[in-house]
Amino acid sequence: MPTSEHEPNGKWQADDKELLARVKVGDTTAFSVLVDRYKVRLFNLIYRMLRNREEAEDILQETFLRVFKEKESYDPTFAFSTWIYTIALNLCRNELKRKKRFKFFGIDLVKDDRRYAVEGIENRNCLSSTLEKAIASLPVKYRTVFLLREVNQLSYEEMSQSLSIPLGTVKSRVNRARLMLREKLKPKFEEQYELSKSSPIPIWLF
Amino acid sequence: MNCRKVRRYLFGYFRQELSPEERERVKAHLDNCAKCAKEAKEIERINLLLKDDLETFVPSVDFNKKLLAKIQTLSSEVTVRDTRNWWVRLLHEVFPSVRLRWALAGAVSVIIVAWAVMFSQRQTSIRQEYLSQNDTERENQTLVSSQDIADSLHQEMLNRVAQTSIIRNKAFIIDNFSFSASKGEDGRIRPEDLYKRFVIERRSPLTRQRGRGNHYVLPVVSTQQVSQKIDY
Repeated sequence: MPTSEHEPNGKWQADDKELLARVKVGDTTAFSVLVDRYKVRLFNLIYRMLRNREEAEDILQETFLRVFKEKESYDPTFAFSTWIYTIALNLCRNELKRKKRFKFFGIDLVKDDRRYAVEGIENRNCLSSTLEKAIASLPVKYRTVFLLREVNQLSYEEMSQSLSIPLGTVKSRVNRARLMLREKLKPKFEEQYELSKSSPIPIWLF
Repeated sequence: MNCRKVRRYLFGYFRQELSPEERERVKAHLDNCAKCAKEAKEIERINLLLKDDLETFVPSVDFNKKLLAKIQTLSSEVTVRDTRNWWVRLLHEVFPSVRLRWALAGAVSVIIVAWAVMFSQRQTSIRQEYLSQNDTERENQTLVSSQDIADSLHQEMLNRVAQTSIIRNKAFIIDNFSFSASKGEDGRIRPEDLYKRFVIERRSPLTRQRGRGNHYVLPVVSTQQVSQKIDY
């Protein structure tokens, strides 16, 4: 399988729908271009939803497998990105539900929020790890919209389509999530503010 | 615009989500309100952190390779599945892993072997039980009964023969005894031949099987004796 780097430039510039059309004909290199285009964004989203590397990779793989399997049923009136985000988010949601169900039966797959948030966030610089923890501690509903908006930089319209919820709801949810995050970060910021008063250079630069 | 409302707009303010007039109004408020200006500064920092400081996670290096391998097995599976028997497909659905199918095959063969062993042991134990009976005991049994049996057989035989004129390779079974007759030289069986040739067999009382290997010839009742008793 030749890697996509050896492909002519045209394939890189082709838009998602063209690539998908080529995948439908059986062009696997077009598929790997699509995979390269989306895997990092999706992985960041999924990883921050599940906070577990292996699971996140499984879900990511499953997402692309679904894309490949369901390629015929893709509706070209929607953007490809919307479609793939919908698939990934549904898989995430199912995974979280499954874990919750296991938890109900006494098998604790999800760690409680605090330990959960800490996993994999250590050994980073202080503020961004605080930020990660704060994001991880948001309720799933709000975490989803927050990540889509602030990390994946989706527009409100795209989010509304991906999640199939009304635009207004998306906006209010994003705002609510932001304020929740702000509340969570407040103590940390105040602590740093106190420190920075005694320090000649602003400490948050580090 | 009051402080409460401004604070709800602040994130949007830094993310360029507001309409021009909203923007203006927020800006105007921030110029006049020190508390909101401080809050705005922190939200700007959060925005900057989110934009620049978040770690980018990358899936493992061999992600593409694994994915493409999976897709290849997926498409080959589809073609294979159509050619397989329905029961093979069902088996593969119910036991998706190869290991599980081997385990199943192992379990089935173990059951078959165990059954065979148990069956043969039962058979030998039956035989041994029969053979372990005292020889004399067995003989007594047959001796005592043989005369009566011969008598009753005689009677029964006469009845049957009276009903049928020609008997070809017929075997009669009375109680636990069977006696058979074979054809005479002319292809017919006369009553005399019948009595000369019949053999009294005893079916094994334990296995109750008919056929080869399970017949016991009573030694006492000879064809001679029986034929003497029958007077034609």
